[in-house]
Amino acid sequence: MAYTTIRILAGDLHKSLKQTFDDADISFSQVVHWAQFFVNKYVQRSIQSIDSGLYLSIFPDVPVQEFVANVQPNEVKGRKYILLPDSIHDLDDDGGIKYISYSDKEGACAPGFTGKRFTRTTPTKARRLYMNVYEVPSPQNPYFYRVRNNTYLLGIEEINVKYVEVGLYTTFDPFSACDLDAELWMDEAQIAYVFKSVVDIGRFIMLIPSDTLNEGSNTENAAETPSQRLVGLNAEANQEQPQSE
Amino acid sequence: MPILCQTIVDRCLSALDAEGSDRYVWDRDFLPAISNTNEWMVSLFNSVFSAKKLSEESLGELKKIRLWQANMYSGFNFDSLVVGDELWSVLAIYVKNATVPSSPTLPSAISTSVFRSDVRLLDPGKSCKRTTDEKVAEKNRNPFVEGSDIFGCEDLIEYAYVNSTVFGATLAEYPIYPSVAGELIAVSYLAKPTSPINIGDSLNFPETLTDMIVDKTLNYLAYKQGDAPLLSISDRSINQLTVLMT
Repeated sequence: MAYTTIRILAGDLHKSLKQTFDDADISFSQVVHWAQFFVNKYVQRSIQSIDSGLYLSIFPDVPVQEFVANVQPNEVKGRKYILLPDSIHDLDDDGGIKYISYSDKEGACAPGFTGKRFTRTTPTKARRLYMNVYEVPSPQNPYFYRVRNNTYLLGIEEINVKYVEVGLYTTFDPFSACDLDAELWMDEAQIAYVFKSVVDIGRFIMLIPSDTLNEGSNTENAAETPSQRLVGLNAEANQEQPQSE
Repeated sequence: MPILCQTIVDRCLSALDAEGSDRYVWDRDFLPAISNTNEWMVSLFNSVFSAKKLSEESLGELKKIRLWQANMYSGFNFDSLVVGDELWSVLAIYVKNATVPSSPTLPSAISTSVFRSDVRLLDPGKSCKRTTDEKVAEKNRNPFVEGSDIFGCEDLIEYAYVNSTVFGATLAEYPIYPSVAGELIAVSYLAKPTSPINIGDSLNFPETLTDMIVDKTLNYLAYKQGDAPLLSISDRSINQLTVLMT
């Protein structure tokens, strides 16, 4: 199955923007950047509204580490943690982390996510867990909480878990991936919204007063110099545009 | 197709009603007039290009693409003695290109670029954007400025060059960012039209400009002989053609 790539999307957008305004100083990387944040916006919206595996990324062997010293901020000595292997969508209740699990049977045939699942908590809520025998963090009932890019693990302090499997809703970042030909993992039906949103930004940028741009018109002759305010080509369209996404 | 000086001379003689006459001779009359016209055409085109009324591509006879191996500082020097052309204007600089032969020998880069007449451009690769001395310094802090390599992705790099600058060497240099030191670069440029010496030489302008060149040559001849009617007629004709062109 072939999905649209950022090269196709940004290439089309860049050409379209230049088509209207060939002198516009809009670089390809700018268009990629604009497309990036709209892709993330619409993907996040889809994640929140539908349950689809399209947006899930699985990292099977994320190493469990332990801080050996306190480092300000966010690194606490003796606590086990994992580093998130990728940037994730910041959803309510750390929903960007779909699951974290570990296999409690060495060499088990079952996939990692069928092992012990970590339940999400927070540093403030975790205190209460230790007061209830049914909820206290343990190897059978582990928890995690997220602090920036570190995800601390509770309940496995006394056992040796080397790796965990993590399912994440990762964000789209063509700049760090450095691969414009990688598939754009989003619903193809949403591409049109990304396209329109980027074009809207481009239209805003083209509203820059035309006397600062070289548009090829001859203004050397005083009689030809516009005496009235110059209005952008898209001014009318912008006014009529509804506030819907 | 270039314009033969013989054609210009024939048309001028016809306009002057001096066919078969010895009144006008090549060395004394036509050569200075045609040479002046040649220089005037360069000035006219400079003005037209700067006003973006005409693209440089219209001067196909003068447009050339040559390859250099960039110097150790990622620049190229245009040495007219080596290339055999005077540089009029740089139209484009291409990097990361494909050539014939595909893998030419590239010795270690030195402080001046090396003109590679043994290599032909096959695919231009990436085009460099012309930037300014002020903007080029922005490349180190703004990844979206041309010439920046902050992202480190080849696909997202927009190469840039600055107009010729003397960096201490005697030869001016066009620096390219980010670095392409020692790599092959292709340069598309306009060569300055050379002034004719003999009547068998040509002016490297499109044939469609013959009328304008003949009129301007007549104009210079009219100065010389103090011929007011001819000066006025040729002036009017040149003005009409210039207006049409611009």
